[in-house]
Amino acid sequence: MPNHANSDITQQVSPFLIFFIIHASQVGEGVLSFERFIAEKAGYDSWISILLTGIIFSIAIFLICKLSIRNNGEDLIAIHQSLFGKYIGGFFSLFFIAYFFLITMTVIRSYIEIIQVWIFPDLSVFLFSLIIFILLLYYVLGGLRIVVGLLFFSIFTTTFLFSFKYVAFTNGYFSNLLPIMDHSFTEILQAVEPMTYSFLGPELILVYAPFIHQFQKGIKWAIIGNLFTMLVYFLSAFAIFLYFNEQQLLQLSWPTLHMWKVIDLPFIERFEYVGITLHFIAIISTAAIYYWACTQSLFRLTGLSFKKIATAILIISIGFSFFIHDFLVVEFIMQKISKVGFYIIVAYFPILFLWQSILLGVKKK
Amino acid sequence: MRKLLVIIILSMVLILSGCIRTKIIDDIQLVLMNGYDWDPVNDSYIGTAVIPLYGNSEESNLQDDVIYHAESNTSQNIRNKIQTKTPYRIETGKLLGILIGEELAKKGLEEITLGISENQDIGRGLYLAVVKGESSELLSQDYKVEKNLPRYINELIESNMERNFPRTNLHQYFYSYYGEGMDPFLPLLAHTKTEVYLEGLALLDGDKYVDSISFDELFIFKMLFEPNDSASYQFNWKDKDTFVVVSAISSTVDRELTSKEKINFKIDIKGTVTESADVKIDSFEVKGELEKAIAEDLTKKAEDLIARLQKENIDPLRIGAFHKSQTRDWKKKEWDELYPTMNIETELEFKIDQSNITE
Amino acid sequence: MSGNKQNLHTTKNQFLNEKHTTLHSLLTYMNKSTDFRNFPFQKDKAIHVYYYESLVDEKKIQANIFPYLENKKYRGLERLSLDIPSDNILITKDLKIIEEKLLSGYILIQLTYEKENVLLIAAFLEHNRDITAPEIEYSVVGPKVSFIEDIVTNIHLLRRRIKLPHLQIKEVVVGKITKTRVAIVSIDGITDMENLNTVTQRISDIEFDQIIDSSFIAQIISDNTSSPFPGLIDSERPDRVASALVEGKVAIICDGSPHVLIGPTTLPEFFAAYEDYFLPWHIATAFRLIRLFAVLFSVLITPLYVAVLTFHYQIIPIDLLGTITTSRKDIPFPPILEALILELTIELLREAGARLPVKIGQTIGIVGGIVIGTAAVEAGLTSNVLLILVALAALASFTTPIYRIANTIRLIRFPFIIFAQFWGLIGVLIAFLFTLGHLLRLTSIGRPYTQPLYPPRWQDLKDSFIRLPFNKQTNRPIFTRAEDSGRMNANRANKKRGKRK
Repeated sequence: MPNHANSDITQQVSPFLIFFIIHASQVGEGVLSFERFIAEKAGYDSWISILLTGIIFSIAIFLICKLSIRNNGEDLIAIHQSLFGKYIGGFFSLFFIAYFFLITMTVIRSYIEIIQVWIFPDLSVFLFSLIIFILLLYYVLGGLRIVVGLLFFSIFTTTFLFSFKYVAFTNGYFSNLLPIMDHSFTEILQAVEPMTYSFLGPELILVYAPFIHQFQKGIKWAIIGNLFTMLVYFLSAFAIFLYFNEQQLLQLSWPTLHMWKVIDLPFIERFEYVGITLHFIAIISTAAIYYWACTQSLFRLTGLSFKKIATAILIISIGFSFFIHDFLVVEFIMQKISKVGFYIIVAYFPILFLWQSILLGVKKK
Repeated sequence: MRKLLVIIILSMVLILSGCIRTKIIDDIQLVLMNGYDWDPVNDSYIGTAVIPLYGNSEESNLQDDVIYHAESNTSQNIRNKIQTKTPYRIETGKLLGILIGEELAKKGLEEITLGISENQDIGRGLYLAVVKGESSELLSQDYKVEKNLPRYINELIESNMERNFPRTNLHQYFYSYYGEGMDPFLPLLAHTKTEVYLEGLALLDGDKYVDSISFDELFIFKMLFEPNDSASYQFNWKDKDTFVVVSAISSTVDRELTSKEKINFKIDIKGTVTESADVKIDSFEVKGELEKAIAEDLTKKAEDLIARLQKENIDPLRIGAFHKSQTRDWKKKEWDELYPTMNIETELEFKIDQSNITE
Repeated sequence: MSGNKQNLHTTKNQFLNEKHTTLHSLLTYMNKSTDFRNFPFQKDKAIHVYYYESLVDEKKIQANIFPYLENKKYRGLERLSLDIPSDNILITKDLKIIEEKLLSGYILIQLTYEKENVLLIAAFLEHNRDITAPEIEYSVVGPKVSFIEDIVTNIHLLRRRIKLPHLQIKEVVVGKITKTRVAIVSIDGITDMENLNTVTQRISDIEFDQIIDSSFIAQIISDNTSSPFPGLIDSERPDRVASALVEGKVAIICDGSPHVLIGPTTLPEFFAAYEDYFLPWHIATAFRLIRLFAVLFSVLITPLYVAVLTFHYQIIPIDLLGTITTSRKDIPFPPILEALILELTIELLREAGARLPVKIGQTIGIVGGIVIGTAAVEAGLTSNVLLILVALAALASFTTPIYRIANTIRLIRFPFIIFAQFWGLIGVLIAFLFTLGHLLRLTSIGRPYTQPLYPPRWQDLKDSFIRLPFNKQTNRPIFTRAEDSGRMNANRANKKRGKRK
């Protein structure tokens, strides 16, 4: 059994694997649908917002890494404790745990929605999410190293799927993007917020930082991972914008899936069925790392057995999916949680960073 | 012991959840082609579904299709009505084409296409086409075709798109239907007692069929619409009183917004003479003469076509979309007023690059 | 853990604890067995000889030892031992050693007036088959030598290939009843001490009463004993084992087994035939990729057939639709049953072929493949499309050079098929992710099983699913943690080639 408490060398991962962790925890359900949300705000100029969001997140990642390094490479729980004391810090940590949990839930639930809409209209949510959460539990109990293994392999599938956006470059219309900067800068800034949901994931760095061998070396890989995500989103949006015009795009919930519909390979027609299936790996890996983060944080906070916590979360999640049927509720939670994620990245961490700087300054004097 | 319990519970869960409706391939009926018509008397839609009848071996009975008709006030209900006539579940996942009767096309396609766009089962690479006359009639007749009828029609359209036909499919239809500054066009099918053929192109205003382009004009349309490399054109050389058939090796089209109200089409065609019974192209003079004559002819025809489209206020060439991409703060309303009076010119260059195998 | 086992041991295997306190009682006890010989020499019965006739080469002792015993009087065992022309001689009074030696083919000589000490002389009855060509890991090019059941011969085969005093062998006796000799082979200075210690520790800890074959050891000491994936590679090729030792792995030779275990191992190694090293690197790479494809095909094709035909008719190309539909038209079963029936038939054929003598087995294969296959299709029990797929999948599963993994591949197909029936393609994916998770969690002697894919070791990828030329393989694999990691100096290797011009 892996040792979850002490991040000894057998549980640690190489610093360059942060690249994979960051990218895989960012790419989830969002990559199939984000184009519509940003186009609603800034039309076909919103690709600028993607670049902006990518840059904002790179800065945020740098702050987050520094936050941990200045605290001797410790995790969020320890940082909260040292900055706010045991109780207030614990409260903040609990808030993060709830956040991680809700993200895990919504990621899985929103993909089940896709499966229901596109493949199996009569899929039983409860039973399906049961088997998915058992799968997640199997990975999480293996420890971070195993979860990262999943993330590592998931990137190859997402990149493979991403390559199928080539249809847009052969069949699309470049004039859709013109004229550039037809929207005001405020509109472009407004599109940053819906974009952040697809970029969320770097906040987990503070949970897995102690498990990175020579964390200091990982910063550059984290930023490269984020930039790679930015590139993937940028090219994705670019492809979608070429392929659909704006009015048409606003009609579609999952534009990428619509685009896959026209791909007919010699041995496979209607690529969307294969695409949805393969993309599920990305969903599972995003959920797995959040699930692990949730369990790990709770484990660090309470000191109960890791296995018991993970199993308890499994039971709660299944209860959650049993009682919440209505997709509108899930969508509501999803919107709220993405807002929360937005503020965590752009407001909470910078404030935390400043607060830490002040405290360090006081200590030095 | 605990592991065993977990395994038992898991397998029970699996067995219980195995209740997703299966679509086993031989227990469903695949609709390969749908037809819709409008019955003005009853104010209702007539739907036709063509379902192939697979025999027990690949060779036998493959051409046989079963054709079902149903009439209903909403397009969605047609499927339910057809279902009452078939023993197995009807599945539309492998639809190859949707044919719309002339009458219905004139009335508007919106309700039909809405139903299609909401159905995730239906692909986007299939062909939507307008039929001269009634689609149910076209689909019900017996033709001598190699494959079954839906696949025959499908490949008829597909192979023609590699030649004179502009590229279109369901996705392209939605693209120009929803997009601003463009109108959709669809293949126009017709039939006699013995054959199905492509009559030309049906032009739509929004979702309504208003006009059509005959096969002879398709070359003009295609060269204005998209670059291509295999369309062919029969040129009537009046000076020499003969016909010359040329086909494009490469044809590119470039649009240019010279002022806010003037658009230039710059077309550059490199072609080859595929048939020239009476003319021998053996000197630079003859070649130059022919090139010039063809260019003039094409230019005139292109300008005529554009003028006709402007007059009818439809925009299958997506000129509005181009205008939009070149103008800041583009408004659809302003464009709608501008379009019929817009000054659109064509500059065309034609070059003969290759000769053929006979001298 | 070990404390518990100790208790069990004392209560359960009591008969082993009946310790003989005197030599006399031991010999009388042994005499109960009819193949135990004991007779005196000389008139006054001054010398007694004891041995198991089934273990001792009687011709040898009659010619070489008995003549010395017949007439001459010896003052002590020491004198006697000097006369006898054998090197393998010892004098002892330790009952434990006496028992062990007698049971491994020594003869015991006792002098009447020196009851305490006895003389033990080796006189093994050698009964080994010849060294033959490998059967399971056969290769067209390369050496045609395989291990045999005798541990000494096997060690000899390794020593012939690695001519270094650093090749070290550590012998352990395991199995409380079978007392099997197990040799742990390593190269001092290359093999990681941690790996060696783990292996030694685990083997000495074996509590099982019988160790008949090396596969017993493999199953007992592998990291996850309930995994369908083999934790250690077993090979019958001395060249493969020697090469593994040079790479820094540990080899385990078990007496009585022609298969030598190698560890730690990784998943890609199961797809590497040793023949790959005898072929040019591009060809070897192509073969390895074919094997990888074959394995994926073998595991996934039937589940995909079930998934697609049950749920996702949309993805079948229109040109193929007619073929598949017509072939299934008369089948009364859903695809899942059809697939399971056919898979089980293939398994039956394989099992019958494996159990029967070679010649009949071949007949069974032909009868099963051709007669049953065509009859099943004609009777409308299975579709011929599936028949082709299942037959290909069975064929593909046998492309792996290591036989053990072929069994695994055929086994894990069944859960995949069942998952495919539940959730179509997504079910297949879920089954795949469970397998992936299992592989990621698996270790071999504490080293991750999926290396060098994950954790990624770019350098080791040179010899995994692909194989680059030897001059690129400058380092030993990382996962063996070899103490001396360099194979050669790449600069010098390349320079030489320059000079050759």
